[in-house]
Amino acid sequence: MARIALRNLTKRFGKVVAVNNLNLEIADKSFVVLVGPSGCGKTTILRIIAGLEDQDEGETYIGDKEVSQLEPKDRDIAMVFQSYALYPHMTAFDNMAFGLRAKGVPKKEIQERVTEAAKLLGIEHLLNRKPRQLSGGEMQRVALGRAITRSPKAFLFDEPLSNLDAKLRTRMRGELKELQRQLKTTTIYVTHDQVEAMTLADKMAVLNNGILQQYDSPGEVFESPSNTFVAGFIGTPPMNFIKCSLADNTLDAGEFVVTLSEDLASIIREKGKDSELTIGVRPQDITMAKSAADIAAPFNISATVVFAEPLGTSTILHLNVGSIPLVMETREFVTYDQLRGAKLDLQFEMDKIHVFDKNGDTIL
Amino acid sequence: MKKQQKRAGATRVLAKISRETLLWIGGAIFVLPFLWMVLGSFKTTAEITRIPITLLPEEWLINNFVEVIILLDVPRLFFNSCLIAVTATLGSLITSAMAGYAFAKLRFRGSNSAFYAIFITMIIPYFLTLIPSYLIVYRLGLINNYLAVILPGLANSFGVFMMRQFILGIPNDLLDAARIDGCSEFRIFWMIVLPLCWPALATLSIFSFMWNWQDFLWPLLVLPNKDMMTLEVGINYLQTVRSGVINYQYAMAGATIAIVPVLIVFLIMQNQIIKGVTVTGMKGGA
Amino acid sequence: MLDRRARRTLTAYLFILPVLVLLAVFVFGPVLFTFFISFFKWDFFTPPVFVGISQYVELFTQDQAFKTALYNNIWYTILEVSMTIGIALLLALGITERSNVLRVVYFTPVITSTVASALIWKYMYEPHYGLINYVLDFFTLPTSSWLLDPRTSLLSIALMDVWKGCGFYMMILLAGLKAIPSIYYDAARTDGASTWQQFKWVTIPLLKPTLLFVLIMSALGSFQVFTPVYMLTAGGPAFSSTTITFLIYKYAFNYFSMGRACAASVILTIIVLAISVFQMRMLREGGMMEY
Repeated sequence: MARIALRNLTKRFGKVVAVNNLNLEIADKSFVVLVGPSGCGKTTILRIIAGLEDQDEGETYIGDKEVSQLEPKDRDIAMVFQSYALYPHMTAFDNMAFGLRAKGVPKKEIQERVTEAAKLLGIEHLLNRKPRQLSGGEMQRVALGRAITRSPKAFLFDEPLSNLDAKLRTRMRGELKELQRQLKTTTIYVTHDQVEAMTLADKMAVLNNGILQQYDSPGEVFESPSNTFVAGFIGTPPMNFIKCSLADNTLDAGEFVVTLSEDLASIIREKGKDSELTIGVRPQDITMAKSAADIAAPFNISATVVFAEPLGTSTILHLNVGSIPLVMETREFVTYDQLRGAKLDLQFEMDKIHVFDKNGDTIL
Repeated sequence: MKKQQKRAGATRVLAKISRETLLWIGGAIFVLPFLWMVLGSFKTTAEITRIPITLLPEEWLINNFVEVIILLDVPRLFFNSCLIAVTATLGSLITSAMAGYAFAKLRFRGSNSAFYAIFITMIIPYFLTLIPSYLIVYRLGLINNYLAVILPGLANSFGVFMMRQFILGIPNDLLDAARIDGCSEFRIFWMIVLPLCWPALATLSIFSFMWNWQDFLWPLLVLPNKDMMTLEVGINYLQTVRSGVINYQYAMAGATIAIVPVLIVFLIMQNQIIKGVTVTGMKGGA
Repeated sequence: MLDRRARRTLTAYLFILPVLVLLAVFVFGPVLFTFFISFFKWDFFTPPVFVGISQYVELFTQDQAFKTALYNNIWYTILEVSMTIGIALLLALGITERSNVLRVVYFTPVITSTVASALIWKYMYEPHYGLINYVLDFFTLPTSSWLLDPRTSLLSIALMDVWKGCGFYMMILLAGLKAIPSIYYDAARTDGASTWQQFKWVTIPLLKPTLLFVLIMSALGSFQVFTPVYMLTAGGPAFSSTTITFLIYKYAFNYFSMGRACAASVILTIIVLAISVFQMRMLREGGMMEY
């Protein structure tokens, strides 16, 4: 029974509102990622849940208990820090046993639980070493072990993989996810890396400036971002945003127009009361017109190639449509020299276009 | 050209040699009093006061030492000094570390004012508190009680400073992790902070011990009893052992007893002590 | 049930409680009390009598001993500080790293007991059979009565204090010298500076904060000197080596004039505080305050 709920959570540091009236429900046994740029409040939220910070307003529930007045040690949660925070003067074993010893767990049980966790993480051979004798990855595992032995109601991760090198990071991601599945413990994970968020999360909470932007599964967040921030934050390369206005049944972006169906146009007219609209289209959803037939399709965009980044399996093209910059990604491998200054005809995949009013979207 | 360089080189070497020599002569002069003390402790008073003076003793009177040890009950004095110094040092380590931890890592109302108050204590001269402190001790009936010296020695504002400075360097994550792991603040202090403070504690204990061991005026005032006094105070009495005239043979023997053990300890631990002194000095001046 | 912030504050105060209580009892309380008593005439056995500031006035106008002590203190501090720091500086410059043995040798007097050291020096100062006069005589230099001569008693004490203390300041100066990055010396040398010029333009300016610190520390210490005076001369002959601290001791524990002793203590404190404040201001100008 370890669902976590945050109600009306607000935290200020002086004049800055770090967390602004947050409401979040985290289901039991789920893996939820708090993601957002630096300073968005995600770490603060984590620390409030842990009890390391006090909130100014609002309530925190772990299980069914309101825990704001409880000390961290009474909340039955475990945390893994970015810096691992291993006690340098103790062996790995003692580090992992520390919490249990503090709670007065009998020696035999401590021995069992620690060895079990160590086995799970593959670090039994490291138990007698001190932190300074361990590599980064090994220290990370010990930190994990320390959290696991406590069998807490929830795990809290604060950017635990940021200090590892890229290859190790990807591997650890997989292991973490698998571990969580095995242990079936509610997990809250904080990161600024949206790729990490996408791969790990059951559900993602996207935050900016202390305000929750969207809380959905990764698929939903990617496909149906609720506003331009989320749309632009998730996905690499980031989504293209083009300002436009509605005129009859077309979206007029200056340099080009997108023709819409009647229904779509009326929906947009309704929801986007003023005419300041933005088209969002992901680089992957822009394609080059293959034949004349395609050109006759709803719209036609003529773009000039400015720069090409061949990445091996794909190429990222930076284009200009008149004065509007565009980035597209294509599966073909092209070099810069091949395409310099070339003129291309592009089209967008219609059902992948997003239209945003001042801050929200309207259509998928 | 070469001749000039040669001359310059020669001058430099000459300067170096003369400097070295001077320093070593100076060093010898510095050490001379100790040497003299040791020599004197084996002589008779008659020999000591004889003119012209003799360098080496005619007879090596170990008896001097024996008499002093019996006269003053040196073992007892030694015990007194040790007990007081060790207790006061340990106690001040703990109180300083506790306060240092609170000021360094705990956020609480009034921490600035409290810290400032302790800072002021460092500047207040010893003498200003002397008389009333004596009165307090007197009223509490603690004259000739070890506590009279130990209690005031338990609070060391310089120690609070040092510990706070050092504990500031402990990463906050460690403490947060401990809080989550289930520790009360005191347990965090005891199991995590203290072990990590080891270097600062060592330096502080050396200073504290040295200061307590050498303290003269206060023990003189509050521990006047012959079997309660500290070694320092006891040695002082060698001045008037026999009929007002200073009995130098005993004085020198006593001085040797007072100095030699400390000297030996110092020589063994010199690296640590010197490091501690320079680091503290650096903090203060550079 | 207290809320978390209150609980946190309580815990924190429990941590600082021992220190605060002890300091309150043995420092803050006494300070106030001393100040308070200084306005009374009190001999410890009979009830105190309020006399206002008359004791302060007496100290400055009627009390010859006090005036002498004040004069002595100033003289002593000047003598002792200049000699100690001067020698310490020379030693620090001369030793610089190379010889560990030399460092230990000069530092040894620092850790020896003051009482024992005083006894040794008292013996050495003996006009007839003391080592010092013997050596002087050996080199046919003039001898002196040292501790027994009012003109030299203060100097004698100072010499012992210098011997005892300069090792400590030498260490601090050594650390300060070591802290001067060698690139400055390299730069000066490539610019063609001689040893003396290097000293003048690199060493002295960069050593200034440490030097200042050491000067003030030494001044503070020497102003409050007690044990050597007690051991070597007991203030004599004829008050020629009496310092204020010794006088306070005498007033309080020999004559039992508590009030007067306290007044003298207060005056001493004011002077010492003035020096401390001066130190802090000088250090702050150098940007040194770490607190």
